[in-house]
Amino acid sequence: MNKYEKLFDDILNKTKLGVLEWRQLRKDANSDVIFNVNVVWRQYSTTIERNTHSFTILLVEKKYDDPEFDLAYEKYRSELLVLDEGELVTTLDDSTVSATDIAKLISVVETKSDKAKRLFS
Amino acid sequence: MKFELKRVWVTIQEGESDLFDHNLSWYSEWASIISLLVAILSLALVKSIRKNIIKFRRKQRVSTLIEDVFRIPVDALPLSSASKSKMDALKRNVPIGLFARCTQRGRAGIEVRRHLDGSDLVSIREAINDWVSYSEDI
Repeated sequence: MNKYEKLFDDILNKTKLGVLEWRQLRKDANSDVIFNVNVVWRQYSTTIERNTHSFTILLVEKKYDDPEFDLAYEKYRSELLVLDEGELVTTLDDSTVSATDIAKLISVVETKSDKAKRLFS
Repeated sequence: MKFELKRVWVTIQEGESDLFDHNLSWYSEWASIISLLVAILSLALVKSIRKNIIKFRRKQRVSTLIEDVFRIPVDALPLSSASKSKMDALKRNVPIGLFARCTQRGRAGIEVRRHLDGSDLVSIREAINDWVSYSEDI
């Protein structure tokens, strides 16, 4: 397991345990660090402590027109951005972590986010 | 005399009828040939459209895989199963023909495949860049 997978596992486990508190942000928030911010359709944020330093994590979900089918359908893609004081440190996506694990994280986050808690509490 | 005239008239009418039948068969023969040609042309056109669609989709697939492999951080070692899957998929999609060793593009493709077997991501990126520089459509 490499350091990126360890980081992702840490995020996933802490989210499952409820240690990390995810807030749902505006779709167009953090546009200075996100590529193609116009295709973002949902965005969450949390803060994680790593080596006595606090980092911001953005969970970004994107949808974009699929060129393979003449742009008739939309494709889905998600990524995790790790920021330190607004600066991008690293990105985790399906090239580094399996898409299934990212989907697991999203399913947990969307039920434990501040807006979801407000709705279902 | 009257009988002779009638015979001549009948002969002329028969001649005209033969001429009409001959023209009709000549036109219908050409109509059949032209419709056959139109059908063959339509078939070729449909086949060419399908070929272009597949070519476009293959191009998209390879481009997406190249982007995915380029997004793997160079220090993400040992490679995760997700990264390996992307690299294996790209390896499958780099075309290697029978005479690949005879062309520069083919040799670059072989190099990409060879590097994708390893885990040196910097070399993989360079090999992909070399291969892409020989491809006009990726």
